[in-house]
Amino acid sequence: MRTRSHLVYALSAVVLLAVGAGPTALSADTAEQAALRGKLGKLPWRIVYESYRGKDWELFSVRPDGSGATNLTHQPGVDDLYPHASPDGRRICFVVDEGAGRDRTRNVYVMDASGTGRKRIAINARQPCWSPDGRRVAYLKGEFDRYTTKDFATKGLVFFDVEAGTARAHVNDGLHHLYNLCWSPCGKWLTATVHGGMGHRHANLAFPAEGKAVHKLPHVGGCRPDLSPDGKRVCWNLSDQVIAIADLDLTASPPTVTNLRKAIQCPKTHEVYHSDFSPDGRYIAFSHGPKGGEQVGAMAKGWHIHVAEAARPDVWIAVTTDGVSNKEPDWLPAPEERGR
Amino acid sequence: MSIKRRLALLAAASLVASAAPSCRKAPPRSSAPPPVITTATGGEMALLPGGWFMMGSDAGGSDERPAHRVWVDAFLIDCREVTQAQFRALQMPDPSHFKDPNRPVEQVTFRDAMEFCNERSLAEGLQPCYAMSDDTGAWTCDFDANGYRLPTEAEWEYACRAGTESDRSCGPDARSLARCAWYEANSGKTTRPAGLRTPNAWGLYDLYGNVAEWCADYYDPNYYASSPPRNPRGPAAGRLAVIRGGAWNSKASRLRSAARAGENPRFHDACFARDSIGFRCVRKAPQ
Repeated sequence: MRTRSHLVYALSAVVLLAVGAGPTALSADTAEQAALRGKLGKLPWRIVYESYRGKDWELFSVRPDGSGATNLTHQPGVDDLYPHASPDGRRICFVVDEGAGRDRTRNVYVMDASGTGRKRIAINARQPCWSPDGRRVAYLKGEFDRYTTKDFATKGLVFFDVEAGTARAHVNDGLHHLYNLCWSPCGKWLTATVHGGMGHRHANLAFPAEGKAVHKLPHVGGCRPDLSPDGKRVCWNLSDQVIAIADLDLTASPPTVTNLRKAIQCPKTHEVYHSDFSPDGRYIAFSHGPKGGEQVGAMAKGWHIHVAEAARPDVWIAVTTDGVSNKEPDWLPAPEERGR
Repeated sequence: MSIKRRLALLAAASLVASAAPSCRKAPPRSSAPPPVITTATGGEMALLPGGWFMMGSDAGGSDERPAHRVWVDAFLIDCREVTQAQFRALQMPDPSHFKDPNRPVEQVTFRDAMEFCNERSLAEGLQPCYAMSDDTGAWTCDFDANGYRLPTEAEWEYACRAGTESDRSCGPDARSLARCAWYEANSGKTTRPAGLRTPNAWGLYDLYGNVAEWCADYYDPNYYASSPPRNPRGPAAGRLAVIRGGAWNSKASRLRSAARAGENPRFHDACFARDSIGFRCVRKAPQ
C-alpha cells in the first residue's frame, strides 16, 4: 500500500514539475489525491514555508491545494527562514541569516502576513514561535556569537511582546540546547527537543511557560514535536522516515503520551520532516524529499511541501513543485481565502 | 634534548626508514617517548616518526585481513581525544551527552569533527584542510595543508600500536586493559575525563575505549586486499566512515589495535547521534 502511494506521489510530482508552479495538475492525482486536493482547495488557510531560490532563501506562501504560490519576502542577499504564522494569521515570525563570513548572524524578525512591516526583534536568536493569543513571540538565544546552522546551538529562552516591544527571559535560566519550540494552545506549556543539554542525551520536553519544571515526554523519541490546535495530540519525527502522532495530556502531572501511531512514512532513500498540524487539526503539512539537510538553513535539494490528512496519512499531495529546497511549512490562517 | 634536536633526529630517522622500504620491522620502541608539543590553542600533540608497521591482523575479523605492511609519514597527533572544553573554546556547541569540560566531546558527526579541525586550524593561523559544500554535504581534504584533520585509518593504527604488533599495545589480559582503557567493564556506563588511564609507549591516551574515534577514511571491509603500501587514505568513496578504538560501552574484544568499524558519517540529524563517538586530530609534521 505504501509502495503504491509512493509511486503515485512520485508520478504526481513529476507531472506537476512539468507544468510549473501554476494551478495544480489534477490529472496526475489518483482519485484519493484528487479528493484530498479538492478538500484542501476550499480551506481558508495558506501554508507559509522557506524556499531556496537559487541564490538565497525566501519565504513563500501557497494554498494547501498547491495553487497560488507567492513570494512574501523578496530580500536578495539575505536568507529568510523558519516562518511561523500567528494563530490569528496577522503576522509571521521567522529567522534571517544575514551578513557573511565571521559577521554572519541568525536573527529573529516579525512581519505582517503580507510580507510588509518587516522588523527585527532579536539578534543572535532562533527557533521562534507564537503565543496562542498572538501577542508574544518566544525564541531561543544563540549559545555563541559564532554563526552556525546547528539547530540546538541555543541557551536561554526569551518572550518578546510584539505590541510593547519588550523582552523578558524565561524564569528557568537552565534551558540549554533546545530547538523546535512550540507553545501549547492553552498558553501554559512549551514543548521542544533538547540535544546534549539539561542532563539529556536527546529528548523531547514539555516545560511550563512560567515555571522551572521540565518533563521529558514519555515514548516520544526523535525530534521536532508540534502540538495540535486543541493541545491534545502531538506529531513529531520518530525517525528520518517516520512522522508519528500520539495523544498528549498536558494537564496530567507529569504530562502523559498515549496511543502512539506511525503516520507519515517514506522509503529509506527519502526523508519526511517538519510536521505541522493545520488550524483545525485535521491535516498535517510536512517537508519531504531525498536525503538532505533538514536543519534550518541547510540545503535539501528536491524537498517539497506536502499535505496529508492526519486520519488518513497514507494519501499525500505535493503542494510545491518549484524551488530548489522547500521546507518548514506552517499553516497560515487566511480569511481572504474563505469562500474561494 | 631540545625539541628542535629531536625533530632533526626524527627527520633523519624517517629518511633512513623511507629509503629502506624492504625493512620488515616496525620502528623500534625507543626508551624515550616521541617529543610532545603544546599547540597555540593549548592541546598537546606527539610528533610520531614516519615508519613501516604491520597493519591489520590475520587472526582478527575478516575486515582486518590480510595483515599488511604500511608506511606512514611522520605526523603530529593529539595526545588526548578532543575534549568538550576544546570544542566550546572555538564557540562550537557541545553536543555531548556526558557533560564535563575535560571529557571527550561525543555525539559529534563526521562533519562536526571536520568543522572543528578547520576552526582549530584558523585559530592557530594554519591552513584548513577541509573544503565542505553546504549544498551537497560533500567534502574534500587537502592533505598538503598544514592544518588539522582527522587521522587516516593507517595513521590511527600506527599511533595506537606504538611499535607493537600484538593485539593491544598495553598487554593481552583484562587487568592490563583496565589500566589503559575505559570500556564496558570499568567505565560505569559513561565517558571519563580524557587522559586518566595509562598512555601507550608513545604517550597517547585513550586510544582504546572512552570514545571511538572518527578516522578520515571511508570504511570498506575489503580495502586491505588492495590498499597501497604507503600512506593509504582509504577508498575514494563509501557509505560509512571508519571509527576506531572502541568506546566506554564496548566489549574488550572491540578494543584491539586492528579492530575496525564503520559508521554513517551523515547521521546529520541531531536525533540520531551516538554518545560513544568522538575524535582526535592530526597535523603534518613540521618540515
